[in-house]
Amino acid sequence: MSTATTLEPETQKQEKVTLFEIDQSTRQAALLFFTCSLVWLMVGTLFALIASVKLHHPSFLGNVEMLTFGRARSAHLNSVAFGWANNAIFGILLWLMARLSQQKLQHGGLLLIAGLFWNIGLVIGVTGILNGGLTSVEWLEMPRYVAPLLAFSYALISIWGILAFIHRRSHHVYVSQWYILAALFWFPWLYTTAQTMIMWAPARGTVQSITNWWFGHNVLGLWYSPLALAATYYFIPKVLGRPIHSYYLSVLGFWSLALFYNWAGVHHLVGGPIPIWLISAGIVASVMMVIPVVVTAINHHMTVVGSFGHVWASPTLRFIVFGAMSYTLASLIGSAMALREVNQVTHFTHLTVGHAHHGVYAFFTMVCFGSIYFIMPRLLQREWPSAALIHIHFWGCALGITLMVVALHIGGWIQGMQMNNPEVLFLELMKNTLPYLHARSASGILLFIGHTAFFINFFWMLFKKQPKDEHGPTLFSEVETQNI
Amino acid sequence: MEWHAYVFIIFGLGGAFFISAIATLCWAARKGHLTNFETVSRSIFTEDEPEGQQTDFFPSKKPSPIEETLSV
Repeated sequence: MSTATTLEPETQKQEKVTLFEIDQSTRQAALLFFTCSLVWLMVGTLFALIASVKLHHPSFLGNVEMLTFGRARSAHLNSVAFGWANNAIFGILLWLMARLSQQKLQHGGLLLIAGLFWNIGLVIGVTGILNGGLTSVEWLEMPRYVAPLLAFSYALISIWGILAFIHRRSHHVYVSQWYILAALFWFPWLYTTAQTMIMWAPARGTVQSITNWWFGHNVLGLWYSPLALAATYYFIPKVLGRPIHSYYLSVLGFWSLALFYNWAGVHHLVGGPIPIWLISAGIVASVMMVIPVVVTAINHHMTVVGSFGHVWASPTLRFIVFGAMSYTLASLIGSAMALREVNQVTHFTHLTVGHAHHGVYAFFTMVCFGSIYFIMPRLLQREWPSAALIHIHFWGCALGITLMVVALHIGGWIQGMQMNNPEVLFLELMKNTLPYLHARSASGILLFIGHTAFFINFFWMLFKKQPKDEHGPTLFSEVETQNI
Repeated sequence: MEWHAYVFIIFGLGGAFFISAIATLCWAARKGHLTNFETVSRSIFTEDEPEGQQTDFFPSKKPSPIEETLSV
């Protein structure tokens, strides 16, 4: 069924806007965000490698004050979380929102200002971390003076996303739009509350910790996850040319995530000096998260089932389906980790680090990679220059993150069991973690190879104008052909 | 800052967002966005990127149009 049969009568009366025109209206902003995201990805990966090697060779770069473990690790987290992940998802969400609203992004050039301020803020923030000005607050390590700059940029981006929705030509609200709109509202709520209660007017005592983990966990669940799910719900059916298996389930998944996730973050404080009922509420919500996760997993699986050959033939779907499968697995493990008995073992171990990478990398980052593979040819009107580099990118990342997640889960569990055993000396259990830390560094090298391949392919595509292949994989419409 | 200021921040912001969520749900129900799911699920397909056709391949690996349409 084509769009012509699905549009409302009032939409058909309006002047038709082609996909080409919509894509081009997002071009400047999306290219800026994607370019910056790639630079931050490489910077963040280098910090990650330095931090990882220091865990098993503490003397590595031991004389460089700016790269002590604490600073390198925080510089890594903020470079990839706010630099890579947010830049990438800003570009994706604006492109998605414009397409789903069937409307051109108005004055998209102004978003360049938002992009510029966001990235200047990050440079100042990460430099502040390296200079020792970092805070001790997880996920908010950048000095607090960059917060106004980031907040201003974010406000511009979210206003543009919401305006695109308000001026939509399509009568329908697709499930991806639900996720994007919700995330655009949730993030300022989280950020404002956390900044106020931890940085600008700090609450006393353990309330700070509660706020910190409410923020830290919800950044993953109410910001990154909904946006990545918005992308999966668009790209899986779009690339396969097959509607989502059950739209009803996708709506159920959205509302159940909205209801349960916000409560879950306190499970990070199991055993901490905070009210038991608060932790219990967090555990219950964490377990209830099984509902949206399983619903989403069933929906994705049933959409893809029988078409795995097509998934394999598409760079976009290779990454996105890997990400969707990781979402299911990481979320179910996360629900289990919230249980008191499990948490008593996993708390303060490498397993938590492995779990975080499972969610933010194996799920979110892989979905972003896949989305960029779909969007870039439509922005630049060119194909990706090298299939070989895409293969290297996929295998480097897929093998790298799998190795990291498996090593840190196994190593972390053993570490937790031994920490709870008074007969095992602390030095001995530290030594026992070394093989897993070496595996983590090896996985970092694989990821670095994958990222380098992506980096080269991206900038090759960006700067080397190639003749358009009429038989290329991207479906270029006639309208766009006339415009090129 | 006094404790009641924090209560205002937590419950004020939380309440505002809770109310906005309920309002959004009511708006969605009133505007018919929670019905007619079959049509909505197909709204992502267009004439340029139609239903029944795969729209992404590795560079230089696109199958013939007939093969591609039949196999999806």
